[in-house]
Amino acid sequence: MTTVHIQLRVNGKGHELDLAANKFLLDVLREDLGLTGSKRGCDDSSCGACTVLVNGEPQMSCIMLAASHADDDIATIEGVAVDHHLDPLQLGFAEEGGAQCGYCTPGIILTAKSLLAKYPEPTDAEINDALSGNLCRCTGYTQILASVKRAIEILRQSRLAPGAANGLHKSPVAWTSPIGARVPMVDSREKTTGAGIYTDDIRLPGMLVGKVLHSPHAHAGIRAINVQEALALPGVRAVLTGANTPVKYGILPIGHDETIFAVDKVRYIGDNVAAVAAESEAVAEEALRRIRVDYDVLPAYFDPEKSMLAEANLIHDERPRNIEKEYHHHFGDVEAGFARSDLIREDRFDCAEVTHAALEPHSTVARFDPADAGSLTVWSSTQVPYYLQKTLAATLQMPEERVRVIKPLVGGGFGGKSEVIPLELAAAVLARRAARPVKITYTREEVFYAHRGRPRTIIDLKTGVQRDGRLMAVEARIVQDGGAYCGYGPVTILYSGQLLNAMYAIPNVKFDGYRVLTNKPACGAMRGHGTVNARFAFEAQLDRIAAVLGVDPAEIRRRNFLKPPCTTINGLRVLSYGYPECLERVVERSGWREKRGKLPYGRGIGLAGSHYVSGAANPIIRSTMPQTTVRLRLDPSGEVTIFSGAAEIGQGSDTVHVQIVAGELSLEMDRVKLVAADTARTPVDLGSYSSRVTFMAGNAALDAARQAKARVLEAAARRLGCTAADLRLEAGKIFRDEDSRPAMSFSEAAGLAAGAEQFLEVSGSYSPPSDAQGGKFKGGGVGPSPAYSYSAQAVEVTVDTHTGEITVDRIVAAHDCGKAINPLAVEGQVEGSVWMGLGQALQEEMLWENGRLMNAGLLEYHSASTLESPPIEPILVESNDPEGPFGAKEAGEGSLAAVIPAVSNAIYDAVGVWITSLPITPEKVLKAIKEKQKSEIRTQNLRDHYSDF
Amino acid sequence: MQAFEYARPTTAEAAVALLGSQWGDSEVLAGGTDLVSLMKDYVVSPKRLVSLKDIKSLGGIEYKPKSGLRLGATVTFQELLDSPEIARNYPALVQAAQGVTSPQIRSRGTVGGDLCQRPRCWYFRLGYGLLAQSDGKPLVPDGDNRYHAILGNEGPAYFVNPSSLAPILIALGAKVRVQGQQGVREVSLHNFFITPKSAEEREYALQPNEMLTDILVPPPEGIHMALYEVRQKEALDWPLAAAAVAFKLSGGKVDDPRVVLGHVAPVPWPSLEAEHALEGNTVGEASADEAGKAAVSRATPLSKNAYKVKLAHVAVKRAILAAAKGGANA
Ligand SMILES: Cc1cc2nc3c(=O)[nH]c(=O)nc-3n(C[C@H](O)[C@H](O)[C@H](O)COP(=O)(O)OP(=O)(O)OC[C@H]3O[C@@H](n4cnc5c(N)ncnc54)[C@H](O)[C@@H]3O)c2cc1C
Ligand code: FES
Ligand code: FES
Repeated sequence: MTTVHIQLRVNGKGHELDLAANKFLLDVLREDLGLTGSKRGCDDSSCGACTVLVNGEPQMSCIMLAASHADDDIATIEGVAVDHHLDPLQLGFAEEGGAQCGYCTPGIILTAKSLLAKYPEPTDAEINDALSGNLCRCTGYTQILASVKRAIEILRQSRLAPGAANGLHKSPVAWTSPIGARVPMVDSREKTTGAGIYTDDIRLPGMLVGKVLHSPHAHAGIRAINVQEALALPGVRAVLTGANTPVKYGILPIGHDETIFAVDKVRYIGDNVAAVAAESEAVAEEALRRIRVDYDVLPAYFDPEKSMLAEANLIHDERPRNIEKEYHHHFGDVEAGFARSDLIREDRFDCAEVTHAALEPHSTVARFDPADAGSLTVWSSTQVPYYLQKTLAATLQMPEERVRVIKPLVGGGFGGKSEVIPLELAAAVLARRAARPVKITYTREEVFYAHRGRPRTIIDLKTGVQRDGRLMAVEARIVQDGGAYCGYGPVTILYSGQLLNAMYAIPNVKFDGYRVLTNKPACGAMRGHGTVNARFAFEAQLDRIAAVLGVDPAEIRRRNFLKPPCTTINGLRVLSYGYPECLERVVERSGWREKRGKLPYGRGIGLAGSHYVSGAANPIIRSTMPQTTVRLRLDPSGEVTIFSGAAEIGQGSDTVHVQIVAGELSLEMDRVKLVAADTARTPVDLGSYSSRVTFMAGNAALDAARQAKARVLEAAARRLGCTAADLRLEAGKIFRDEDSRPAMSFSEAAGLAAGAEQFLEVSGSYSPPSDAQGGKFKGGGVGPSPAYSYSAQAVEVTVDTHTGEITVDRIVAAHDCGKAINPLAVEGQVEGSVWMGLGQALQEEMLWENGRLMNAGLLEYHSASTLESPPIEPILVESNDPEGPFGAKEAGEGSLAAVIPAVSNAIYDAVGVWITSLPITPEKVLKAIKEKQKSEIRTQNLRDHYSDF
Repeated sequence: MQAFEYARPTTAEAAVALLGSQWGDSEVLAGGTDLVSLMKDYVVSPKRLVSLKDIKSLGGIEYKPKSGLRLGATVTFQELLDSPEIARNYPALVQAAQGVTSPQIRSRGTVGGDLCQRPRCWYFRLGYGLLAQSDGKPLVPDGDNRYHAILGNEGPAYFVNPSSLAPILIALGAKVRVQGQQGVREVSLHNFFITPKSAEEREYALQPNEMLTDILVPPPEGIHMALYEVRQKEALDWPLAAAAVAFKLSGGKVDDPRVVLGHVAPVPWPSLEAEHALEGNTVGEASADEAGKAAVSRATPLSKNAYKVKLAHVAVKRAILAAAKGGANA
């Protein structure tokens, strides 16, 4: 390949470079210039994360040949803040929550900058149009729009009053508690300036590129693998196969069925067969092509209901009929319940498989310490650093304490990074073999195949009610297509059954759940884990029942409210229950009474509810260890450092920690620092899954802060010659009794408390109470949580009755989060959940054909842009949970499910058809309308001529 | 991605001289919004890329009331949208360009590239070749063909032409200029698109060492025109079906109508049936519907795309109604 000498002008600075003529600008920026603020979300012009400005125009640097832009002015995110003065857009994104995980943020800020340079006062529609090429998977775009508008406002003000202080620097005011305040994320500066480091941004000296060889067959025995040719290729430093890595692992103790690389056989297209570490990506790819694998192709299973009948060629020998796990629960007596029902409905629902598609592809860097070859450091894009540490230790057969896992910024997870992903282990074994650091970053296609998303779910649901709509019995048979490995499978299927409860009072419940293996990538935990499809089925069927009974859908829900405090028939303890308030607020705000059943044909409104756990009460690996421990260090200057293992993945967990500690110690937030998710430095937290962080790590942080406060007050009391009870801590100062003059500063007291030690250290922890841990039956451990969040939503749609196109006009979403410690972040979580649910309702779907994914790209997967994302109006309901930190419960998942049935119920209101399979495409709507019209013609025979227009 | 050589000629003649005599040896690179991802996915692996960036003659928009519009092949969507003359004279062309959302695509994607972009057929994009075959067997008829052709789909090609601009340009009677090694030729855009009979062919009538240089659109005098797209997704996606129409009205009656469907066949699909149904009629709900019905009267949907028949029907009907309402160009 020829190299060319070029000059590149980036952010006003000239660079002289000798480059391969075919190198893309994104690679040059990231690798040659170290400007890692430009992100790679897809590498194929689908997502806009790599956007830079070329002579002021937003363009995708992943498809631009660097050599052809020597004459152009290139601007990247690193050049947006001038002399450390943040741009109004950067301020706007911080203040209005536009950056959650931050991975889309640099591209979006640049695109918006280009827009505002041309049109300083764009309309909302113009902003959305301008941002339509930048995908975000976190926010649902509502706060992104607000952020841009905030920037416009700041710019407007600075035009009116030049030199006026900009947004974030407000004049000092009296201390107010950050609890309940709309505070920007503590990492928003890193995320809006491009300075934040994600795993793929890390470069270590001597680092090699790792690449994984994937199976081309859905099910095949491996007869032999020959790696000689690959090893012989110059630049190849290690090649490994299953023979080198036989230890089995899996996220659940009952599901250790994976190995780093396939041993004996492959079980899905994309299964991991071997890996290479090489000096460059090109060499690594070439080496993969030179690995010879001799396969013995086996019959494969793709449909779960067929797979369940399998007798031979089982996917795992020890799983008869390809059933990973089945559960049969029966609480009360459903037969008796149905016998006393006035109306019984049975429906089948079929929900397509969806995936997280976090904008940041999985990435891992592994390094064995050159000075101490027995110790490993792994940086990874993970939601579960602690489980990753344990799995690395187990599979590499090393002591846990020699494995350190550091979680850099994570560009979105949604559950996709909540179990160990093969590349994390592959990078480590390659690093060991090559004795060099290794980085593996998945391509977007690999991310789709790594999957671990929401399984296709077939639900046969039978519900019996009395004439007034009161639920008498519910029976569900649920089959989940789990893919080729266990993963979180048993938990997923259990959630789908167990959390039929804890929403409404159901006296009799029966659940038959099957987690079935097929020859596709393993499914796993995805936002709303296990509950979403079952909730869709339940809430859609409830509306059908209401329609037959002639009861208003809001009213039928009211008639079935729980009456907490209570324990459901399957042992779920419910203390706080904001669902009734959510429902009433949504009914009010949406104009439900005026609209329902009264909009013209083609327009409709629907509502539905959903809920979710605030952390699983039982840990994945049974243990008596607290679920989370948070350590606080106060130094004598009064600065507080939090050490927490909790994994920030864009949901704002770092910020919530700081708020809780600052709030409890009545300090300004900037006096509280945070060290998080580094297993060598931070205590154990189980990870960011099951929406557990605010509740559990938050409680642990609060516990630690309370102890610290007590110690500080005691020390002050000793000095002041009073008791701690005489003192109060306020605004960074200690006051005695009613005295309005401070008796001592917080720093002074902290110094006293530390005494002879260098610091005062305390640690807090959280374990769920035993009465929240659920029933003692098989599978009873999944579903129990110390608290449940609730959501109610109303959705308005317009259906084009001739094409089936669906437009969502408005979404009102009320979420009971207990207490919004940070309303800005909670709204962002609710909006993001609703948006993701809407994607599942209308567009997203993994399309498999014989085990091959037909749409393994962000375009083909139909991730919604600004233009398909309606405004979402969040309403926060605060039920003040007695056990939550300051009353808080979860906010990041519970709002996902309700939007799906709310959409399908709205479609019924609009055009009178029930759609029972997801996603609800124009095709399905059109078909249903046609069938309905046909049957109306048949039954009524009203018209002799019928035109369906 | 396979390594490639990168050439930057400054004239069209020099560019075609750099192109090989076989498909696959080299590819023309315009904005790269389509080509680069095909290369990164190993769908095409040219040894040489011939960039059009430095060829000044390929740019530019010129409009003359007498001769009409000339669009250079490397005019971007954004340049097209920014042209007041196009906005005034060819509103439906603007509509078509607006359907392509995302400023990133608009500021980089070119009109030449839009016409020459490769099919979105997922079998093609997964590496099964233009005709989507595995061991010589076509995959589409028994496979997931929800987005495939409903017309002109007797095989071996089942994909749909993905271009947003082509239907309206054909309806307006556009021609393209093609630079070859022997010189320049003109082809009507209608004849530019072909249905390949073998995987070695392309879906447009270029030789491997030819390229498109200009698009020529006749003056729009007296023409009513409109485009209607049916989309599942507004942005970052292609329509499920589209219809472009152009006609004159004389004494309230349709004269010389052109109806071209998009995303329903391996080529942009001029519908003689719809044109025939419309000719000489007044425009109204009923006649537009008749034309829509006629447009799909010969549709032969595959196992999973029957719904597209209705969508195409509706698209034609609505495009006709919109065109009549939109007024003619003076
Ligand atoms: C996110 C996204 C959304 C899109 N949405 C739409 C849409 O809604 N509607 C739509 O129509 N398209 C859409 N596209 C496709 C895009 O419009 C076209 O890819 C674009 O117009 C191609 O122009 P380009 O200059 O980038 O072409 P390139 O990618 O450079 O080239 C595309 C192909 O055309 C050939 N080619 C280019 N110019 C010439 C020439 N002058 N002579 C001969 N061959 C040539 C190339 O060799 C290549 O095979 C989308 C693409 C993306 C990535
Ligand atoms: S990384 Fe370039 S568009 Fe996604
Ligand atoms: S904040 Fe947009 S992708 Fe995460």
